[in-house]
Amino acid sequence: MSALARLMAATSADPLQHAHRHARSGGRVIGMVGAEVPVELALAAGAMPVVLPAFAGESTPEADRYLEPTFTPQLRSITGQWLSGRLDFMQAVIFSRADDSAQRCYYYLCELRRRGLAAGPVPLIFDVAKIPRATSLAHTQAATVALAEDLSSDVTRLHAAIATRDQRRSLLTRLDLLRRSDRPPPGPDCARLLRLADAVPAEQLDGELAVWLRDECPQHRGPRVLLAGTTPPDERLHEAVERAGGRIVGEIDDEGTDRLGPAIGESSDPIAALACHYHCLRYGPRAFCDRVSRLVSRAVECAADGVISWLIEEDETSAWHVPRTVAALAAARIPLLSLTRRRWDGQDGALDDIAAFTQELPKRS
Amino acid sequence: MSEPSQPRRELACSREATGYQREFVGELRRRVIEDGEPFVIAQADTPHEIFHAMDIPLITNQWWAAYLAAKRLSGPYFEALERQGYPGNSCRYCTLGLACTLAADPATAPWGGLPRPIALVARLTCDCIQHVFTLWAQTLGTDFFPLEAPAWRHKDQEWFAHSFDQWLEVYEPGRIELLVQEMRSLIALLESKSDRRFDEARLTTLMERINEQEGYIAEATRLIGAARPCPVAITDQMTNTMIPQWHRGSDWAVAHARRFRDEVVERVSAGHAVCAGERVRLMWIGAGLWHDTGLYRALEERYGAVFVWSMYMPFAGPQYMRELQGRPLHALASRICSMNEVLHLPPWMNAWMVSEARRCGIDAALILMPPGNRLSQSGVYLTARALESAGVPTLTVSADMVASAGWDRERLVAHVAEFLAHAKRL
Repeated sequence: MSALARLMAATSADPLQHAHRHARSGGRVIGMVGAEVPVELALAAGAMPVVLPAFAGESTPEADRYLEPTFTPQLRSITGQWLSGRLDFMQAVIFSRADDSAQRCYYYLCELRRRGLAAGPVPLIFDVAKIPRATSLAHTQAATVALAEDLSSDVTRLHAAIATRDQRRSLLTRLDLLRRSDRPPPGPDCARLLRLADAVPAEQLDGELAVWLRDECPQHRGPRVLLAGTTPPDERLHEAVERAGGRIVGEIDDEGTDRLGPAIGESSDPIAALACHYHCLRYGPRAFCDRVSRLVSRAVECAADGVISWLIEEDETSAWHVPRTVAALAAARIPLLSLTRRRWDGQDGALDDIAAFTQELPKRS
Repeated sequence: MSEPSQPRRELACSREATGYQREFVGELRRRVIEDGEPFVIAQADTPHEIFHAMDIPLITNQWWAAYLAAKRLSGPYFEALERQGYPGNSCRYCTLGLACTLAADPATAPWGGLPRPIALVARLTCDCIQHVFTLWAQTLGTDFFPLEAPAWRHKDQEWFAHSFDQWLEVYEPGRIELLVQEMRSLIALLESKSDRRFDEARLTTLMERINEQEGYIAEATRLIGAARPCPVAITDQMTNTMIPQWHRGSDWAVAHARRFRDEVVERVSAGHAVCAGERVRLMWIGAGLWHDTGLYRALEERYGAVFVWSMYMPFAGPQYMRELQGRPLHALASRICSMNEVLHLPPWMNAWMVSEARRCGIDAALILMPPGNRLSQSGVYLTARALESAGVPTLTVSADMVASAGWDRERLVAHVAEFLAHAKRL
C-alpha cells in the first residue's frame, strides 16, 4: 500500500481528523460547502480550508427538524453534524450560492443561530453569480472582496495561495491523463482521493500525490466506465464497477478530476482573477454550459466503453438533461445505464444494476 | 360537530374581476396568436413593469400553469413529460408550461399552444429554473434572459415595516444595482427584438399608479385583519388581489383595487360574516391550491374554519409599495430582487408570518408543502416552529398547487378537522 493510500484510508475513517489537529494546535479551520468556494481566500487567511464531509449511513434527526424533504442528503448530513456540535471547532463555514441546498442551509443556520437553536461556526456565503454576463462577473468580484473581508484574508498572500491551488490543479490534470491511459489507477482509490483531498493539509496531500503519480499501474483490460450525475457519498459506486471487472476512469460531478478548473496563474489583480475563475467554472448545478455535449466529449476522451448516469431523487438539475443524454450517447454508440430518482446510499438495487451493466459491456482485448 | 352554513355572497367586484380577466385573456390571445405581436413568457417574480411600460404582451408562467391546471391538463402534460424520458421528480409549478410546449398537441393545448415569444425571462431562484427555461427557450427557438437571484446578507426581520421608504438598506444597494443593470440589458434585448421602446417617464407613472393600487389593497388588508368575523372569503381576497396584480398600474387595476377596498369597507361596516358560525381563524401559507379552491369553502361550511389570510393580499403593501425617490428603476428592482426570498427564506418569511398571524388574530395555520418542490417547501419547518412558538398551531399540507394527481379533498378536510380538534381549536 502506498503512503497516499494509507493517508487516504486513515482520512476516510475520520475525515475531520486533520482539521481537528490543526485547530488543537491553535490554527483556524474554515469549512466549505459546494464546489464553487474560493479555497484560495481561506489559504490567504492563514486558515486550513476543509470540504465538509457527508455520511450516507447516519440518521439526521436534528437536521430533519428544520430541513424539508427536498434538501439533498449531503446537506442534511452536514446540517446534522453542525447541530450536534461536531463542527464547533471550526471558525466559519462558507456556503456556495451556486448550490440551492447549500445556499438555503446558509439562511437556515443563520436563523437557527440567531434564535439560539444552534451554535457552531459562523455561516458565510460566497455569492458567486454564474450567468455569463458582465454584470454577473462584476457582482462576483464584489462577492469575492466581501468574502475576503469576512475571512480576514491577507491579499499579499493571495498569489501564494493561488499557486498552492494551481499546484493541486496541475496534479489533478496529471491524474486525469493517467486515468485516460490504458493503465488507469483503480476507480475507488481515485474517488477516495478526490472526495477527501480537501480534508488533508494541502502540502501533505500534494506531496504524497506527486509521489504516487510516478508509480505505474498495471494495464486494465476490463470495461472502462464514465460516471455522471449526482456526486455519490463515497466509493460505493466505483467499487460496484470494480467488482464487476470494470473501472471508472472519470467522473462528471462535484468531485471529478477536472472539477477545479484550469490554472489561474499569476495576475496583477488576484481577487479579480479568482472571481473570474469561479464565475466561469463550468461545473455545478448553476453553470451555463452544454452538459450533454460535454458528457459525450468526456466519454470519448476517457475512451469509455459505457456511461453510468446516476441521479438521486433530490437532484433537480440533471433530470432535465436525461432525454438528450440518452439520445446523444445512443448516437455516439456508447452504452448508457441511466438511473434516476435513486437513493443516495445506493441501497435500492442500484449497485446490482451497475454491476450487471458493467458485466455486459464488451471486454477489451 | 356543528356545521354552520349560510348562503354565501361573493363580492360583486370578484365577478367583475373574473369577467375582466376573461376578456383580457381573449384580448391577450388575439394579440399573441392572431395578431402575432411580440410577446414575452416570464416568471411571476420578474419585473413585469418593464413589459407593461413597453406595451409588450406578457404570459406569466405561473398564471399559464394555473390556467392549464384549471382546464385539467396538468395530468396529461406531466404524463407527456415522462413519456419523453423526463424523470417524474421535477417540481410542477414552474414546469407545466414547458410540459405543454413539449407535448406539442395543438388539439388539447389552450390557444393551440403558445407560439414563439421574443424572450423567456426568469430569476434563478433555485437550481432547476435555468435548466427548465433554457430547454423551453430552445424548444420555442428563442432567447432565455436569466436574472440573478443574489445572496442577501442584510437580514432585517422587520423588512415589511421598512420596505416602503428604506428599501435601499433593506434590500442592499449591490443587489438592487445588479438587477437595475440586468433590467437595462433586458430592455435592450426587448427593443432589439420588437418595435417597442422603453420610456422611463412611462415607468415612473406606472410605478406611481401601482403604489396607489397597492395602497387600496393594503387598506383592505388591514380592514379584513381587524374585522371579527372575517368579512371576505379567501377566494375573494385572492381574486381581487391577483387579477389586478397581473395588470398592475393599469387604469382598470387601480380602479378595481379601489372598488375592492370600498366593498370591503361596506362589508366591515355591515358586520358581514363570510361564515355565520366562524369558530376558527385560519392562515393559508403558500401558493393557492389552484386545482381545488373548493377546499377552502368546504372547511368554512363544515367547521366554521375560516381562511382569513393568504399571502397574496397582505404581500401587496410591503413588497409592492415603494417610495420612488426619483429612481423608478431602482425602486422597481427593490420590489423584484427579493420577491421570492421574503416568502421562502428565514428570517424574512417566518418573521413576517408571525407578525401577520398576530395582526389577524389567527388561531391555526395550514402550510402548503408541495412534494418535490424545494423552492416552495423552503422555510416551511422554521416558519411552523416560529408560529407554534407564538401560539399558533400549524399543519403542513402535502399537495401541489397545479398537479391534482393523488389529491383527495375529503381526506384532507377530515385531516384538518382532526388537527383543529387536537389543537383544541374546534
